[in-house]
Amino acid sequence: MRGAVRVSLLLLSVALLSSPIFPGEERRPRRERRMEPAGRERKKEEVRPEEKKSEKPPGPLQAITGGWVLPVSGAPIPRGTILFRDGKIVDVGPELPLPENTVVHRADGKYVCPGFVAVEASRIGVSNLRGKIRDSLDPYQLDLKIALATGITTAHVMGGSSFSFMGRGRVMMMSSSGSSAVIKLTVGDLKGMFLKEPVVNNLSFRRSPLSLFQLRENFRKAAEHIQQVREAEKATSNEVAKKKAPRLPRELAQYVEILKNEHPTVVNTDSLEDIRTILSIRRQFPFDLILRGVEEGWKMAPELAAENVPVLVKARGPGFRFDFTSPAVPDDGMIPIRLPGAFARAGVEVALLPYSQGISLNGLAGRDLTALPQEGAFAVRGGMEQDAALRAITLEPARILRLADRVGSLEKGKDADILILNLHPLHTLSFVETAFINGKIYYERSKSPLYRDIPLR
Amino acid sequence: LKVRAVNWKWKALVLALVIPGARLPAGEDPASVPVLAFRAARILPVEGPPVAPGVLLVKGGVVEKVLPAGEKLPGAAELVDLGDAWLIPGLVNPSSRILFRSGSRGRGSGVISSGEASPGDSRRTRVADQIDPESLALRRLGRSGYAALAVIPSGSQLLEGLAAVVRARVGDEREKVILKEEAYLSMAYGLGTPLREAAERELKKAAEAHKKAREGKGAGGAGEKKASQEKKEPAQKAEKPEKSGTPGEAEKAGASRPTEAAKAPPAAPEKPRPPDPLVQVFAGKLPAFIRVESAAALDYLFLILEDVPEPFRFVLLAPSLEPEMVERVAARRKSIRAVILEPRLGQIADTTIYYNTARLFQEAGMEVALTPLSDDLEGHGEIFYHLGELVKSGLPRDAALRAVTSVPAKLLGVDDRVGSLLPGREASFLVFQGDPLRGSARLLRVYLQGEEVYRDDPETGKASGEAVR
Repeated sequence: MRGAVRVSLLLLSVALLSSPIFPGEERRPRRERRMEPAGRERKKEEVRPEEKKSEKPPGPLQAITGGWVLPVSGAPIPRGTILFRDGKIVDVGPELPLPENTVVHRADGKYVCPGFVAVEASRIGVSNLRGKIRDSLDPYQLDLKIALATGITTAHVMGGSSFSFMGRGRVMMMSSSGSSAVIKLTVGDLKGMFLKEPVVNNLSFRRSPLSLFQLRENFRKAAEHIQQVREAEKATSNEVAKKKAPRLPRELAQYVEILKNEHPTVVNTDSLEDIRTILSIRRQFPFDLILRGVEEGWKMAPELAAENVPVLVKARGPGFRFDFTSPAVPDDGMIPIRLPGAFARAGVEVALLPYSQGISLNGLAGRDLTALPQEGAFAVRGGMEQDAALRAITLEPARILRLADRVGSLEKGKDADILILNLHPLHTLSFVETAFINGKIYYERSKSPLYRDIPLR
Repeated sequence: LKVRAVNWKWKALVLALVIPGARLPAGEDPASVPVLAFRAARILPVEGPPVAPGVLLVKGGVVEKVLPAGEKLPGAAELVDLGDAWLIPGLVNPSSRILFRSGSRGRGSGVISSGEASPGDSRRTRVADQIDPESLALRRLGRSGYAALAVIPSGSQLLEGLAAVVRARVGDEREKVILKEEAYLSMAYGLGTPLREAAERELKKAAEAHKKAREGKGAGGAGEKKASQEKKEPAQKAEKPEKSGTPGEAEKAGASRPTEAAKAPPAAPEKPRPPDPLVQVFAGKLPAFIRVESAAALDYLFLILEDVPEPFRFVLLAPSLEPEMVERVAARRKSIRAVILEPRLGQIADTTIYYNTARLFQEAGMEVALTPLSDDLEGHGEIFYHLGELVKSGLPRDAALRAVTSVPAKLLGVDDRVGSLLPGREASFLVFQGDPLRGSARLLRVYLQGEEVYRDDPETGKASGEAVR
């Protein structure tokens, strides 16, 4: 008897399983389901736009209207309209005509700007990192929610340990290139989160004549190696070339990566000497260079501008130092708050770093990632133009991360990562009211317990 | 070790001699088996409405019936008057490792929330083979109110092994303790690249093996038995590396290139093995319980499952899930049979906002089972306190009771034996002084299979019984 029941149950379960169990809507096109780097996806789209259209009907057209639009890439637009669909901006302009069935988000009397891009953030949206960041994203993390509530929609997150400095004599570096990634802060939505990994190469070196010589030698050898590989490939067929390719000594690997220039290279330095050295190396062996924490570098600002080297700086002084011997304000009187403005006026691309890259909420005013727009305000106070300061937390970081085609400004074809704020984004009393990422609302101040109960002024 | 082996042999011999006689009550004359009638102020059979006052009829350690107190009892019934006590079925824990734990108390480390998952694979491990039927933990569990528990292998791996359901009783016979040998395949998933790769690889491999078997069956039009044999074959084939080179070479390839391991997995079995449990899961022949580390891990799991060519059903174990996840899980109820949670309120970090995940799932129409908050004796003993907390914050009473009795019993496939007081179930029940969901309620007695294993005398304050020693 029991056997018979069991067999019939078995048959039933087999029958159940052989029919598709997931409802139809769960089955999405394969392309969308993979967590491929978004860049790659885009390329596919560009190759076959017709096919994409046939796969999925376009979503509803949405519009943000009536606000003071700061596109960052251009002049402000009073009563501007931003049209977007399927996560991409369709058009930006003054009072654009709205087609029928447009979903309208009114922003009358409010400010509209692109989402902020944090050029460095520590482990926001990453939990239990094992292996790649893209496999350890956590869209439910509180830090992620807080960062989004401050207006950060894109962040370059580091998996490795924090930055540290051992006095002025030595330069420490951030994590190795493999463990940083750019993510979008799509709270609660894993699918929209990943943008790219890895993002940058990192280079650190010690400041001694011997090591600087060694540094140049390493670059020279790496360049030679690349040349050899190229020649070997040219000379023979692919398979043979692989075998014949010269062996790469381990210590040269990072220099080869830098010279391949698949990612820009961050050099963390605060002295003129270092900057001069690395610039002269770069003239010989070109690669994309980003200077970070360049306190003395302002003296070379025109040179940096001429060589197109962007800088990552803090508007409120460098981080905590163990070295108490050097003065808080250098002899030349360049106090930290003036730095961003000094670079910007010389024509250097500036991206602003928060005072600290994590989210700690130490102190009400905040010196952590949640104060990123306030860093812009400080930079303005120190002499930076207001639009340059806004650019330094939006478009410039996007460029530095090589994502300027996706984020950082409100332009046709870019991702619809948009903030609606009650005041100018750099105003101390401003709050993000609504944050869109990829055309979707991920934060509403009125619904989130974080800042909901603070009265607007 | 040798002594132990001899001991076992001896036991096996005794067992063989004893078993034929021990088979109660089927083998004996039904009239000679005594009927016990437990009279209580309120009986909650869990499946079915409460009976108050009521009488529970037990015959040969099995529930015969629950009657309203006024009805006439069978003549031979021996009445046990429990006064104003409440009576509920013994509890069932759907996932525990308590038998593998040392005596120390790991506070706040439930089975669900402890340990990060690793990409390991021990899917063929059978807990049933590891259980010591005379474990002290089993004996002591009796006083906590648990009648049965599913024991999963120690460690936290992607494919952990086969859970066994055991009674909370000691026994010199294995059969007395083990209720079900292979209750489910225990799995775990967490964040990180190694796990993601392993999960994608293993799930796809098993799905392909199952698909092949199913299609082979369709083409052949063979009967059920033959089909199941065919199913086993591809499953084993999929495991075997292509043995074109030396076996060592294949092993090396598998070890050094984990991403390509789908093509060349670890060494092949030497002798014929039972079918791959994971393939059995796809075939619907073996339940799967998947424990996730966090909500984010669950999202990754969903993404992985979308790319697995065959669907399968599983029970989800989650330590705490954000409210927004409830909807997402409920939307997949066709593949998620039920959720197993820890009986605690979730808190939105850095806020004073709490939420009752169990209640949210219950309201979304999902089956909810609950484990003790910490996987030790105290944790099992405190379950009613935590249940009370959940009820206080909105989980319906009956849902709370079902979550520790009939729901887990059903998920484990032992609901014909434990988890309720329906006729034919084992007479494992608890006697409470008052409402068990009220924090102050005292557990007075525990009966397992009709035998009193624990008694707490409210007069003298002394506890006694098999479970106390």
